[in-house]
Amino acid sequence: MAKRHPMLQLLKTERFVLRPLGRVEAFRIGRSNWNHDPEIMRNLIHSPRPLDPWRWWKKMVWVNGRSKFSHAIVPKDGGKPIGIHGMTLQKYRSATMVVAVHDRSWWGKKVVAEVRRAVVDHAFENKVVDRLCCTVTARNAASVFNYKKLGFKHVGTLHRAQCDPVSGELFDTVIFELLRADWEKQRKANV
Amino acid sequence: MSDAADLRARKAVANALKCSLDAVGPDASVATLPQWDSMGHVNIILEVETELGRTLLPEEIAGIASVADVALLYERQAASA
Repeated sequence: MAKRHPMLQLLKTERFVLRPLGRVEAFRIGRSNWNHDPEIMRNLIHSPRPLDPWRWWKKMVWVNGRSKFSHAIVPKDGGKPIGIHGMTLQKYRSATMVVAVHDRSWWGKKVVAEVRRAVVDHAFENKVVDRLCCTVTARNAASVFNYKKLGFKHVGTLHRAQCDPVSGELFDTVIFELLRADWEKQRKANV
Repeated sequence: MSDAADLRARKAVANALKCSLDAVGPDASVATLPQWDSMGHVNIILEVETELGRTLLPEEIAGIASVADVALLYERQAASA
């Protein structure tokens, strides 16, 4: 029997259970919670308007069980998922990540840092990746903070690389990277 | 790092995080200051931009993770004045 991919495992953090999602559930949770949130659509999906179901299915479902994995972020004390974390594996044992918390009552409560820490540790511990790479809008200081806190290093800047879908304003993005060697150093330093 | 830039950076970080100057040592960072969370980081960026009187460059925003990083920005500004 084929071995189950490590990124299909259920993960646990201090406050959350990260439950691996199938395509249909990822579609349902993502579309029902994000598609009509103008802020999430504008800043994360870069769309000025909601997407129709077909486009959402093609563009937004980061699940195939081989190279794309999504986890629902579910509070341990029960209830509905409050967000989704997605990871896409790329060539040469690299991966990118994306996360969105749609339940605004959890904003400002360090959810992203806690969830990302668990996923990053799991991916490195299970030898899924040797490098994580993420691109974020330079003015998104909260997201920049989260990467810095996790030990990601700024490795590049893309000027005028993205466009606000509503205002048309062009903005810069910064690239962050975390290599296995740096993650292992952090681990040793924290022991 | 000059003492003036160091002190200025500590004051800016303490102001942004709404904590006392004593709590923010010259070697404080995102790893050591519990008050330094994502919202605190946003406030630090805004505080530094107000102090410097300009918008920070993407590389500068991405480079801030400690009081020393903030002090370096102030020192560069003083050197170029």
